[in-house]
Amino acid sequence: MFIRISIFSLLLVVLTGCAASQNQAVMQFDQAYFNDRVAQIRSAAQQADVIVVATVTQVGAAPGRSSGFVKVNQHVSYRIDKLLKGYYQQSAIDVEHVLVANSRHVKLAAQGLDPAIFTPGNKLILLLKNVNTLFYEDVNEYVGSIDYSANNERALLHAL
Amino acid sequence: MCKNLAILSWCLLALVLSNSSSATVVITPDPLRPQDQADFERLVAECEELSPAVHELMEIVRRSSRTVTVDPVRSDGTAGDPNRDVAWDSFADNRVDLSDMDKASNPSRDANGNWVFPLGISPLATSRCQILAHFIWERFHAQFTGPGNFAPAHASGNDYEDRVRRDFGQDGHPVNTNGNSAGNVTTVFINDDFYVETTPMGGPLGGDPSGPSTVTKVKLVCMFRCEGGTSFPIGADTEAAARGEATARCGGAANLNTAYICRSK
Repeated sequence: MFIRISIFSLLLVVLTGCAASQNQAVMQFDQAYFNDRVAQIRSAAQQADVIVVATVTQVGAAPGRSSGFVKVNQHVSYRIDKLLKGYYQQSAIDVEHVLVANSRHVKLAAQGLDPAIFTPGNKLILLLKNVNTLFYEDVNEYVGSIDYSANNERALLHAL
Repeated sequence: MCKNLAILSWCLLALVLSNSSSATVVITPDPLRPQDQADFERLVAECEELSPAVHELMEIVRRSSRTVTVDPVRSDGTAGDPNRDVAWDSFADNRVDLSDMDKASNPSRDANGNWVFPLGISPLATSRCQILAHFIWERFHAQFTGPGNFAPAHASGNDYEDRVRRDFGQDGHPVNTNGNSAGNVTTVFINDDFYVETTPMGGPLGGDPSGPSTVTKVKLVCMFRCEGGTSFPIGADTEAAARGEATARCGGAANLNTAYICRSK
C-alpha cells in the first residue's frame, strides 16, 4: 500500500509539472485565483452560450437566501461592450446570477452578490448560459464572471 | 507523455481509493444541538421507510467513497437569526434547516393503501422526502463535478425528485424552484399541464415557510422581472392575467420590466 501511494505521489508531481508548464504556455490571467482554475475556466468557456465583456449598470435586491433545493438568483443588468462568443444582438443583457454561499460571487448569502465584483461601473467578462431565451445565468459561480483587463481577455480567448 | 502519465495516475488513484473504507452521509456533530442531529437521522429513517427511491439513494451514498455532509440547524426566521438565509437547505455550506423541513409534509397510506397528505395539503405538493432526496443527491452529484457546478447538480436533484414523487403516486417533474425578493418560493412543475406551487415565506428577505404551500393548475407559465429585481415565474390561464399579477407584484406597470416570456403546453 505504501509503495503504491509513493508511486502515485511521484507520478502526481511529474503530472502537475506537465500540466503547469502547458497552462503557462497557453494562458496567464492577472489574478492568481483564475490562474489556479484554468481548466475550470476552459470548461466553462466551452459550455457558455455567450461570452461578453460588459459593464454593470444595475444590481437588483438581494433575496437574502442561498441556493440549494431552491435556486436563488439575484438580477444584474449590464451594458455590453464587446461580444467574445455566441450570438447576441442587443446592447444590454440581463443576468440572473445564482447565489451559492461561499462561492466567489457571494461572500455572505444574506448580503447577496459581492459588491466588490458587482457594482455599477465595474467591467467584467461574463460566461453565460441562455436559460429560457430571455434570461441568462452565469455558467458557474466561481469563474462565470472574470474581472476585465485586456490581458484577462487575451487569456480567456486562448481557452476558446 | 503527460497524457499517458495522467491515465496511469488515475488508475493508481482508483486503486488507492478502492482500498479505502467507504464513507456515508456525515452529520456535522454539534454538542450544543444533539437534538437536531437526532431529528435529522429520524427524518432520513422515516423517508427511507416511506420511499424506496430515498432508500436506494442513501444506500448509494453509503456504499460510495464520497461523503455527503449535512449540518442540521434550526431557524426561527427572526432578524438576528444566523440561519435566516437558509431556505430548507444551503448547498455550499451544508446547512439544512429542520424548521423548514418540519413545515413540509409527508403522505401516509390510508385504509385502502392509497397515499394521502394531511388535510389541507395538495396531493401534488412537494413532500419532505422529496426535498431531502433533492439536496442529498445534489450534494452527492457535486462530489463528482467539483466546485462551481451548482447548476448541473441542481438539475440532477430535480430529476431525482421525480423518483420520490412516483413512490408517492404523484406525477409531475419540477422544472424550476425559485426564491424571489417578494417573499415567496415558487415551484413550477409539469405533468400533462403546468402546475405552480407557491410557498409563502416569512418576509421578503430570508425567513421561513409561514404556511402550507398551495398548488394551482395553470395553462401558462411566464417569467417576469421587476425593474432591478429577480425574475419570478407566474402561472395563469392567460398571458394578460399573468402580466396583471406580475404588475401588481412589482407595485405598478412602471416597475415591471417589459421583457417576459411565457410557455404553454
